[in-house]
Amino acid sequence: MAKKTASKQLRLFTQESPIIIFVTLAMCSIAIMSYDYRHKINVQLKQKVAFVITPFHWMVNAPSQIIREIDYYLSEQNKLQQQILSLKSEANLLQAIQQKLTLIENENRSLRKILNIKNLIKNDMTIGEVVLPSQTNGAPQLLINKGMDDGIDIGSPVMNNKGLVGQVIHVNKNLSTVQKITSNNFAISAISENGTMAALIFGNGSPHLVIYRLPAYEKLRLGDHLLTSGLDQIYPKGIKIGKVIKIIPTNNSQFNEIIIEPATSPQSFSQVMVIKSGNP
Amino acid sequence: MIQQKSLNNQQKLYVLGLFLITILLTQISLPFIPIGSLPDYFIAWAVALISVNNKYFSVMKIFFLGLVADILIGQLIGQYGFTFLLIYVLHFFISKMLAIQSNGQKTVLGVILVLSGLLIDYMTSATYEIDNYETSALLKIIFTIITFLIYRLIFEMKLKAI
Repeated sequence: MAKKTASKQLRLFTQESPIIIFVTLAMCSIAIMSYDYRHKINVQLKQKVAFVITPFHWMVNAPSQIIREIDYYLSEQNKLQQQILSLKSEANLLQAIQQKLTLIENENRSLRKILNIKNLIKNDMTIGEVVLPSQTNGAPQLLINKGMDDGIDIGSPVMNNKGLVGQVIHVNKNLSTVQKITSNNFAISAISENGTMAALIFGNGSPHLVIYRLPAYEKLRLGDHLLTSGLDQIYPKGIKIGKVIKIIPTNNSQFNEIIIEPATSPQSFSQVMVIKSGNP
Repeated sequence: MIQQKSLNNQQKLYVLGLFLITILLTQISLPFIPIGSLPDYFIAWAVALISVNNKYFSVMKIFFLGLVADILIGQLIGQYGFTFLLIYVLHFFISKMLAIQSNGQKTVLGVILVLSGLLIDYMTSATYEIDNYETSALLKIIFTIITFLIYRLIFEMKLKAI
């Protein structure tokens, strides 16, 4: 009996034991992880196997899509006609404003030419719709239905009518993943509305943004809006980032910590605009 | 050496079906759970599969399924592979050292494996985007354990019944 127990206890460390295969596989996986972290092969692989995940996205989206379509068909015709009319008048108004803008833009261009200033912003944008889910494997992110085919590249800034949303981090053929500005370690170069203060704003994974150490002499008040500065050459100048909601004194009396509420929250939009790269 | 038993076609179908459902679940954000607290379905699935009966699956198969999960939804290739492997090893060693026989003991072992899996997952995280708030991390652990118990129930019903 004792002999039997002893031999059973030792079995793990004999040639029969799977310990060698465990160690080999563990080393293999660590090597693969390191290699992937350096060379980003997972991103390339994901682009190639996107067709496997697409049906799952379709399945997740299907219920809301069906409900939306049923809702659309069940809507009263009169209501829709009224909406069409109001949209038409809005479009007419916008066209009139656009004409004025075209004139101003042309004037601006010629003035810039005269003053020899480089054109900083070209509004080459594409409009994308946010696709469910709003998370993948627990990590919050946005998926939009535009990809490489629409001229989107990794790093393209994403915004909506309220302000800056984030930056494209993965691009597939027809889908892109957007990292939100509130994500951990997300950094944006910002200026105040009156242009007197410049700082780096960080996301920290919470719903708010933060300026960790703003010199106390900077005159920033509650409710002040912050805009992109354009200095980072990624985000065009003047996109609204958020407004100051809290100023916290730090241990060092020369600096304050600023808490900013983002201008956009994930629940507040279903469409986003992606500024195509090469057009900061 | 662990003696491997082979699964019949219907059992294989259940395991594969649950794997596909797990992929689907990872894409869904449940409205009543904050995004940072969503369970790690793959760890729950792997622990349930291993703890119900690891004789059905060799370490190679578990590792391979981990790699597939990594390619489809993971951050890094090898992360889930590594996590599943360590869960398998932990289960193997604990089962060898302790006499885990009753249902309660198996459940506690499963919970320990889930906690270990989540810890390994955090340690190998490429983004270090660990939940900022203790409450959301705690909720994630609780929801993952609940998911594990549900998976375990399904596996026990289906893998043992057929």
